[in-house]
This record gives sequence, structure tokens and C-alpha cells, in this order.
Amino acid sequence: MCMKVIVIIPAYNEEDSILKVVRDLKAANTGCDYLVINDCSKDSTLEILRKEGIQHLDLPVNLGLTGAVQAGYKYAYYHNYDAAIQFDGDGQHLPEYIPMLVEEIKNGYDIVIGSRFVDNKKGLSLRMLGSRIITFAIKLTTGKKISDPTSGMRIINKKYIKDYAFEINRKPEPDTLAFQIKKGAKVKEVQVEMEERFAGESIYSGISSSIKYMVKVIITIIFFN
Amino acid sequence: MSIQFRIMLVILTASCFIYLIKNVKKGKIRGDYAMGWILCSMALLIVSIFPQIAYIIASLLGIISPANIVFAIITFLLIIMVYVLFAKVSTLEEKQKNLVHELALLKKEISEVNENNT
Repeated sequence: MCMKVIVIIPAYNEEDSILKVVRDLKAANTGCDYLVINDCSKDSTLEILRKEGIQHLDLPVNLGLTGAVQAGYKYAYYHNYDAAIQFDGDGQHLPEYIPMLVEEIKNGYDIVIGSRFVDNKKGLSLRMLGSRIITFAIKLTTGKKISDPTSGMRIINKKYIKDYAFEINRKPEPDTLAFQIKKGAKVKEVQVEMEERFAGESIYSGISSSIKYMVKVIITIIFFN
Repeated sequence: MSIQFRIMLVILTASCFIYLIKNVKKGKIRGDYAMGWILCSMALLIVSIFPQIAYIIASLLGIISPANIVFAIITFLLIIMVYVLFAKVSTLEEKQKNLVHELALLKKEISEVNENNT
């Protein structure tokens, strides 16, 4: 059985990394198509995409991560893809693990997460504390243990491409994951390694934005799902 | 604060809270937009259940009636929300304008392509 799989790479100001990410992806021979979503970058990301002939969508206004990824899902939906992978444009995610994720979709799972902590233990940093709290909140509300809920590397099948592409409140965040589990999605985690980001900064860096993020995710998981 | 006032506050904020959550679940409002309202109503709920908080703040600021501090805080929060809304609307209008421009440019480009083909 051959599946049409697309790798969606949202990119906002990723001029330092996007070329390497796409080249690595091509070199890995995963058999997947890819699509970079340029979310109205202020740097030369768009010029790089054009010059190198990289498949991309160029959003005319900045939509943020959610809107950019959703644009990719819409593309996947209209082009009849069987599965879509969300993949970071900053080089954190490694394309070698894509076939493993696709394999689990073939096995009938709806959402598969590339997780750092299936076999490995979580560290004790502040960030991991946040991750633990979210894992606990998801466990509490859904009964399922997601060891790496904040992982941005996930694949969804056809049914969920439609859902993510058109429904309201489908941020690519752990709260949405909890919602889908509650609605009966079959979710599986696969152990992957992740690279330290070699360019750009996490959008969740800094204490105040981390706290804001945690409050948002926890409140959403507890009240809105 | 009188007990009647507190009961009224609890009932009103609790019903707002429930209404809000229902609307998010129905997909009528986005979760991130509901967040501010949820936090405000939670704060109000806490103050109306534990009015000591209002008493402390009132005595700190030298306000005689603790009910007034509740009104003052609500007014302040409303002002913030209105401002946030103003900021949102202005960025929204800017984005919409840019979108319209892009669309118009695209239309022109397509018509030029069509003319060249015929």
C-alpha cells in the first residue's frame, strides 16, 4: 500500500536553517512530498525558497504558527494526501524518523507523535517540569499518557487533515491533542531523537511567555475540552 | 461587601463562566480569545468567595468600601480588554487591507497571463 504523505514545514524568519532542513529532508529519501509555508517572513526566507526552487506557499499576511500549519493542512486536503506531517523549519526534527511515523499511520493510528521520552527519561529542567505538568493534565482528563505532549513533530491521517484544516480551535498544541484523544482519536508515540535548534529561538523562550503558555494550555485542557 | 452582593457576584460570574465554556466547545469563540474572560471571571469568583482579598486591597489603597474596589477592578479590566480589542482590530484591518492588495495584484497578474495566452 502506497500512501501519499506530505511534510508541512511552517517557516517564519528561518533564513539560516530552512535550506538545510529541506535538503536534509530530500536527502533522507522518505518518499514524502513536502511544502514549506512561508508565514510572511521579514527576512530573506522567501528569496531562498524561490531561488532554490523549493515547494512553498507564501502567505501574504502573517498568521502565526497555527494559521501557517493550517494552510498546509488545507493544501494537503485539497490535494488528497493520506497523511500530513508537521515538521519544524528550524532543524530540530530529523527526517530519518519520518518513515517510522508513516508506518504507524499505516497500522491504523490517527495521530502519531514523534516523542523524545518514550524510552528516554525526562530531565529536570524548568521546561521539562512544564512538560510533566501538561502530561499529568492530559492523563487526568483523558486517561492516556502522552510522554512528550509539546513535541511539534506529529503526523495525522486523512480524517484529521480535514478536521485540522477547517475546524476552529485546532492549534498545533498539546491542548488540541487532549481534545482529539477525548473525541476518540487513536494516538501513538514513537521514540525519536531531536536536534538542538541550531538557528532561531523557541517561541516559548522567556519566563513570562512560558508561564502564559502553560496557563493557556492547562486552562484549555481542563475547561475547553 | 454584603452577602447579597457576594451571592449576586458568584451567580453572575459562574453563569458567565459556564456560558463561555459552552461557546468554546460549540466553536463559537476561539480558545485564546476566551482565555482573558476565563481568567477575569475566575478572579472575580475568588474575590466574591473570599472577600477578605477585597478588604485587604481596599485598606491598602485607603478606600472605605471594599465593594468599590471590586467595581474599580472590573472597570480597569474592562478598559484593558477594550484596548486589547482595539489593538486587535487595527492589526486585523491592516492584514485585511494587505490581503485585498495581494488579491488585486494576483487578479491583474492572472488577467495578464490570460491575455498573453490568447
